[in-house]
Amino acid sequence: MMVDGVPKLTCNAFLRDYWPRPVTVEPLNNFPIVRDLVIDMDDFMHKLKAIKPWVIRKQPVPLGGGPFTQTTAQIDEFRQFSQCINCMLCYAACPVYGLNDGFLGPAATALARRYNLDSRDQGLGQRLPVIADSEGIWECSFVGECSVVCPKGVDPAKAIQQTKLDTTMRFVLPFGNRD
Amino acid sequence: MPRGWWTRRSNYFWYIVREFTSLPLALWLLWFLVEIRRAQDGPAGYHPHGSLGFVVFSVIVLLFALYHSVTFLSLAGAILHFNVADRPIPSQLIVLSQFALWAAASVVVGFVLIYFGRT
Repeated sequence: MMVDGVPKLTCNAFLRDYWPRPVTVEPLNNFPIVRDLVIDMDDFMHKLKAIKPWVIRKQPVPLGGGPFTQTTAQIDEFRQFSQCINCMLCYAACPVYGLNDGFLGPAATALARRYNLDSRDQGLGQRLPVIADSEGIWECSFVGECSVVCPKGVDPAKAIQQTKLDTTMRFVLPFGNRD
Repeated sequence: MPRGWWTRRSNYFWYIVREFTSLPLALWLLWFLVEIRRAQDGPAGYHPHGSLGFVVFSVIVLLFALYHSVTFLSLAGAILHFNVADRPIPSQLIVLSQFALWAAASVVVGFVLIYFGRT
């Protein structure tokens, strides 16, 4: 919700931090309001699904094939971006999303990056048409407020800018493809 | 979004300022191209534009350029991502290297302009 005009996790916001000032509580910015403080999450859910937030393999791996193994360095590559709790505060803070709700947005892009950086994943080619679309990463003008309001330190702005750099390098250096 | 959305939070305001600084910078660079065109016949026929208004405008544009450059390079740590021996390079070090490169490039450009300007 919005607390005094700032996107906040209200389950983690304490009145003692606002006392004795009056507190204004509003529904999240940039989303259609269903009623009172309830917003319509459909757009966000569609975007989340569009980036295929699961491990994709080119060839299905049989269950008896044993576990995937990863080093701590490989996990550290994407750990930060896997902390997202889908609270949508970043969407409420993003003026680009407020002006154009077609924008893929911060959380979905951060989650896409989380899977693209996962050494087990081979789905970059399937996600690229969505994240590199005209309404994907290139809509972001790096306001950075998504990262400021993120309660989990995911830093979606970083995920978007790094994805911009990666897709550019992929375009310029085709031999750098990984999928 | 309300029309004055960018005045509601300081981060939005400074973001708009950062983006706006590009506009006068572009205008100054266009004027710089005109000056180069005027100087093509050599130093004898060239008289630089030195009115007080232009000097003031140039100083303001210089401040804008510095602000834009500093904010841009400060964000480099969030964009660039390098690993050395399986360990990521700290973002502060990346930002520092960008400022060092900027300073080195400024020294080289300054040297070239002054050295070849005298000869």
